[in-house]
Amino acid sequence: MDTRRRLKLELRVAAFLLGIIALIPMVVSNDYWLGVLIVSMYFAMVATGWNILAGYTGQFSFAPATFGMLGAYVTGLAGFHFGLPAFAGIPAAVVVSAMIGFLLGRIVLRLHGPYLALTTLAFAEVVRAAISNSMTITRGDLGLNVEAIPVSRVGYYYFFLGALLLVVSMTFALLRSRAGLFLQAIRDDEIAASSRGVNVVTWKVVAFTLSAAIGGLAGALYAHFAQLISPELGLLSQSGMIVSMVVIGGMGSLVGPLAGAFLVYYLSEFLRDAGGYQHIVFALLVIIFARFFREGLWGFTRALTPVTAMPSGTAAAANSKSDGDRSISTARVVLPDASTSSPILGVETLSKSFGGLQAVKSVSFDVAEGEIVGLIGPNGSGKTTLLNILSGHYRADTGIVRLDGQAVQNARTNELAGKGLLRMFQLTRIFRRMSAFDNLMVAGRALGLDEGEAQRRANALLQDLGLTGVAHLDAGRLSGGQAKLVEFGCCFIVPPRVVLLDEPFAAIHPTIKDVMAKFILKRNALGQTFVIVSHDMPIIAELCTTAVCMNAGEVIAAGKTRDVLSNPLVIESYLGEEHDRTTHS
Amino acid sequence: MLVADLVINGLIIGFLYALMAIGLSLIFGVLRIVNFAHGEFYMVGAYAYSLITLSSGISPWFALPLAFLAGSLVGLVSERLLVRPLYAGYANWGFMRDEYAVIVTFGLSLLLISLADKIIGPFSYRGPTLLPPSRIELGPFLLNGNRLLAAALGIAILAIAVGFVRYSYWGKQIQAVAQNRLGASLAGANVNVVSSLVFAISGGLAALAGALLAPFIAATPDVGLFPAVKSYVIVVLGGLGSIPGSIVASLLLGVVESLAAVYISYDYRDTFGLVVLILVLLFRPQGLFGQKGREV
Repeated sequence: MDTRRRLKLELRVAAFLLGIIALIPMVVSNDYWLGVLIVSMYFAMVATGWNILAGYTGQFSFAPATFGMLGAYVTGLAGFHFGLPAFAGIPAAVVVSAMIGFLLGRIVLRLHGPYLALTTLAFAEVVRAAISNSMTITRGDLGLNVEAIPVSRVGYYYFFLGALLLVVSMTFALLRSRAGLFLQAIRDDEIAASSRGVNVVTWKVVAFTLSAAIGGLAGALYAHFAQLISPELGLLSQSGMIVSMVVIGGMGSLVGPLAGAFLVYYLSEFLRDAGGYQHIVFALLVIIFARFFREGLWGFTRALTPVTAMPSGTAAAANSKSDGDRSISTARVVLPDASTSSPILGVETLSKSFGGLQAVKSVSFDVAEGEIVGLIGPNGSGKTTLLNILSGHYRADTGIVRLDGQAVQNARTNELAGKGLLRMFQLTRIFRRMSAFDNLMVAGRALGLDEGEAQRRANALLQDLGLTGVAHLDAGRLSGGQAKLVEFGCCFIVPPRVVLLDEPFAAIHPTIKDVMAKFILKRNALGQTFVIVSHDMPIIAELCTTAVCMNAGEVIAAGKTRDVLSNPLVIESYLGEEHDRTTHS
Repeated sequence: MLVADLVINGLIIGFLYALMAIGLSLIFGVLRIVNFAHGEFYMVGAYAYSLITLSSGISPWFALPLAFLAGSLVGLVSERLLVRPLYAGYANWGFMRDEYAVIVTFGLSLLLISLADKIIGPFSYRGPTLLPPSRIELGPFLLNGNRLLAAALGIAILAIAVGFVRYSYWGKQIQAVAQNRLGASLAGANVNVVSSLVFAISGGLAALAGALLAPFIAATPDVGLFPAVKSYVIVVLGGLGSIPGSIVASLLLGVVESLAAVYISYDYRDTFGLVVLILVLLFRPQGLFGQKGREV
């Protein structure tokens, strides 16, 4: 289902839940139970913040409770040492937590994989140790007294509810904007996200900072409610509680953390009375949900919504016929004369080695605007490495890459995408937990289209590529060929300058291959430039005006495709005959 | 003289950190996951050693191998029940595996801590020392004999573990699976046995670290937390998956902590590791010994 539609449904359910919570004080006047609900709302806020980071962006921080503790101590210390009142202390807590989150995020989020989880866990324990050891400032484990806000318990209740409402609506607004698309794209595949033009590090830092700010707000409110805070607020078991709320409620949904927080906290009060089994039960539930019900309780409701059947690849072929059989020869006529136009992409003496292996050796060639260049060569000849340098995934050791005359060898992948250089990977990279339509929306919004325009173009592209029938399925459920078409389509939502295609025709059905080939010619007729890596010689001969052949990291032939394919060196390199290496250096 | 004294004490604790860290590194190297329950393997070892010696009165020398066995057993069961789904017949887990591994091992950590708290209780148990209290003069230095012995045992165990992975038949299979899981299975390596073995070794080593330190740091349900946090710092410093890197980073952390505790502040001794970690991440994100991998 599309992010948008899913989010709308979740907002309704979340509003319903919050509505019920707003009515509870009308029937419950018991201070104890109101207190339980207030603490649940603290947890619901922190859990919502953590869910933005872990559930939507895929970045696992183990310090959600730590930011709550930081917020509590900021307002607590400001009041204790400087007499700052709550209405100033709470905003200060939000700002300080956000700043600490921003700094930590800037350092850690440049890295992939488990570094964030490792570093935040170390951060959580170290901050807690620092607070409990700074006796003179924080009063350590004795705890710090915090001023109460002069309201009744019901007053606190609606105060917390207001804050929770603010947090939930801010989260909704964030997810509804382009940020929602980008964060989920990062979660599913960081490398693909940057290739579509998403600034991965910046958006991860945004998510982290926001999550820290929400933690700070919740913690500061909690401090004024509890009136006594201690480093125990940042215990790992507290973070574990928050993780279990989100995992049990449902990660990556607006409702999950809310439902999870109330359910888990209520249950934990109950289990505490029943003999202190709460931690064991929640740890077990986390494991069981992670293992068997990965979408949590909210996922059960999603499982009930029907999934439209998946049409087969023939729909693609039928659709492609309808958009006019522009013949190959007419498309070629429009081609600008390659020899006279200035190069759109220039590669000068580019080299790259991995340890002792020199994958690309001093490669130079030009691509004229409007050309379709075939990049061929045996396996291991350096084609993909070259493409990775051109698309900004690798830094070249030496050499220059020019796009429209501008040196871009040090530009990042998302900057290159912004300049119109897009790429498709050999092993399909798509956002598997987003619909095909949303996959295209990510590319469109990242490249600066507004909502309506991106939608219009995404729909048009899906139509062109014969994917309309599966547009709203999660891309992970598509067939290999359909997934490839989705990734292919992402390169065209904004008219590209140069498209780099790595083995686009490998392992796909001929009808889909045909759809792609026709589409390439159609777009080429509009002046778009292509560099295609392929081992499929007939299609290279059919599509490409010029070709570059690499072997062992070097360009051994370049020029008109026909000439390159009949070049004896090229034939030798493919057939593997013995030949004297000095002849072509 | 004080500096040299502190460095030696730092190295002693560093070798025990290394016992923790190489197990973590081994699991990451072979299975590409970080085990967030690693500290609880340490806790199991600390309890096994202390409780066995305190309740049965057998020699602590016999309790050491028993602690190793207890840690291996917990490691083995964890791998079998929770980690194996990651690679046994769940082909479409590719894009979920990091999330699953993080959550499930974190859940395991919480579970083991709360089980220990419920079954054994929140009281601390300090294990007996291996030797009667003694001071050993090593040239101009006066060292606590039991700490020195723990470090010496740590070095011996490290040497055995590294030698096993490097040179033994099973160690070579571990290396093969670490390089290419599918390739190793096609070449006849039993990847499931190797994965279990890696978890058993890792759990056993962490438990031994817990046992060796039990006379100095009493066993409690959450005793594994700080050693675990330190081994996370160490493996990131040393480069995830690099065993030599882990050992060097362990010694480095031990020495830095020992010096900083005296020259900067004793109260904040546990925070210096994080400072070092952040500096390294800023200037050398792949760790001191890690290599920048191919990502695309």
